[in-house]
Amino acid sequence: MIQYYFQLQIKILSRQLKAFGLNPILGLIFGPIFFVLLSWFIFQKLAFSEFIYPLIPIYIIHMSGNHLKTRFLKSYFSSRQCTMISLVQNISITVPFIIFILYKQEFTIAAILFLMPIVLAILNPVLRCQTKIPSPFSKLPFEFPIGFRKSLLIYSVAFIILIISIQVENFNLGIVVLGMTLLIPLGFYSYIEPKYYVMIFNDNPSQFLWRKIKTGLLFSMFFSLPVSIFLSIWYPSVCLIIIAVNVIGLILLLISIIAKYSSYPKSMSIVDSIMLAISILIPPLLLITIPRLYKKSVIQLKPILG
Amino acid sequence: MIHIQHLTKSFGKKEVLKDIELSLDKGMVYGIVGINGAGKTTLFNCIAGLEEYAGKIDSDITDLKNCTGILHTDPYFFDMLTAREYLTLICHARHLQLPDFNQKNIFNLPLDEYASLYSTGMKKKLALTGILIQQNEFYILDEPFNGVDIQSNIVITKIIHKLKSLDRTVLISSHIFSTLSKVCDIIFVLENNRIMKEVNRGNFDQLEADIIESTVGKDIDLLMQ
Repeated sequence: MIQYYFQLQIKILSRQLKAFGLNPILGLIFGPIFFVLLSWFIFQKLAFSEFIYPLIPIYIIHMSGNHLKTRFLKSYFSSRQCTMISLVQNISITVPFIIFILYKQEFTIAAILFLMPIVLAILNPVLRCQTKIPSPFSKLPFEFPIGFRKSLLIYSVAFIILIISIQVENFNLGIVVLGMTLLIPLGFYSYIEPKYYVMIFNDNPSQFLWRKIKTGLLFSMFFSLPVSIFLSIWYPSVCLIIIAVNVIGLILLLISIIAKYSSYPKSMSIVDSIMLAISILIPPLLLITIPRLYKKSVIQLKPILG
Repeated sequence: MIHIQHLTKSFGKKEVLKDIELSLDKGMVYGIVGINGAGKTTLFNCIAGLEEYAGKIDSDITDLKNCTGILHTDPYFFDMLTAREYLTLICHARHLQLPDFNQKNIFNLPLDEYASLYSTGMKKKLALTGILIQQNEFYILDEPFNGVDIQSNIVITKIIHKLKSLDRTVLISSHIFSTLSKVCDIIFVLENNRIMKEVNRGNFDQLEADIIESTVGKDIDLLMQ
């Protein structure tokens, strides 16, 4: 039965690739090539990549589950089978990353990442229990209260790393934490909400977008600001780097919001995704991409918001 | 008055709604009946602005979209969002002052629990609470009685009567004819993608008899032979 479940998962993935405009066979060929290139790029271009890179699979695993999926699995499988399914899924997500980390000879990080699927298979159902997790963002739903609850584990890890970075006086590690607090909210905008949750707004498309952007930027700073202040006090000589990381993080958040609505209610097309990725790699292109995405978002939202 | 003219909706080549004409007056409750898949929900989504369509909807209500509350058959709630946060979102979206949600919680829902974990009936009651808090002019209720307990059915019936007395317009679909006949002034029959009949309160018994005759009777005879 577990085997059939995974066969179905592969079918779903194949259909999702088709819906994304990609032939599944081509996806199978180019997927690993794209993964290696992206991994290579992260290690080549990004500072502190050895810390950032392993966080990607952890984040994917953490965000991949939800209570409906858990309820569905629990109604058809025994709890042992459910844990097995989580474990297999988590391992299949982490293995490509572990291979690349081993290739980069980061053996300690590879060993830690190897243990993460087991830890998360046990921890995630606990974190997704029915007890309400309080959120500092309850006053302005919905992206941040939900995102905060889903990312509580990642936020906890970030703040543990921050304390370690201060203790060992490692500024680089502190910047990684700052980057994490700015990157985590990007995931909050990856979910495409049903049209009803747009239609209810008494705003025109521009007002709606600005409302989303304002809330996103404000709440994003809720975590990044204390970390920035903390780092600025400890390392006053590198304030400019801290400001630059904040600016980049907030620009990325703005992009993720308008990118989401630029194809709403569908997900972004492969062409738009590639163009956006290129623009992020060559930042001056953002001067064209951001207004273009904004304009597209207004057009997409107009039939719903009027 | 809300006047729907020549509303047509297709999904690809499949025409779901054809040349729909409806006039909905203030202070009136309208029902729509039709078999599963007749297009009732699609019609509701078109009227609420959730689906694009061909045709025209005119109204003397200024800004109809922002005065419309739609209750879906199966309301969707985000994972890990509490009912109180959902109601907060609903109010923020319409620029409304946040009321005392405990006071407005007539169905006694556990507002601080995740709404996505509610039962079907509780979800419906929460969604209904949301659109009532918004104080809309026009209410579209898709199967409001489905899945809710007897007590809440009575409350919902009373709410519909109250909305009528407040001069609001209500459009309801239901597969339970007795509840529709209790609350509606006029019932429309949606058949073959069109509105085929408009029946006034005085002729509801005849309409029910016609529905039984044209659908259920023959099928049961065939099944039991």
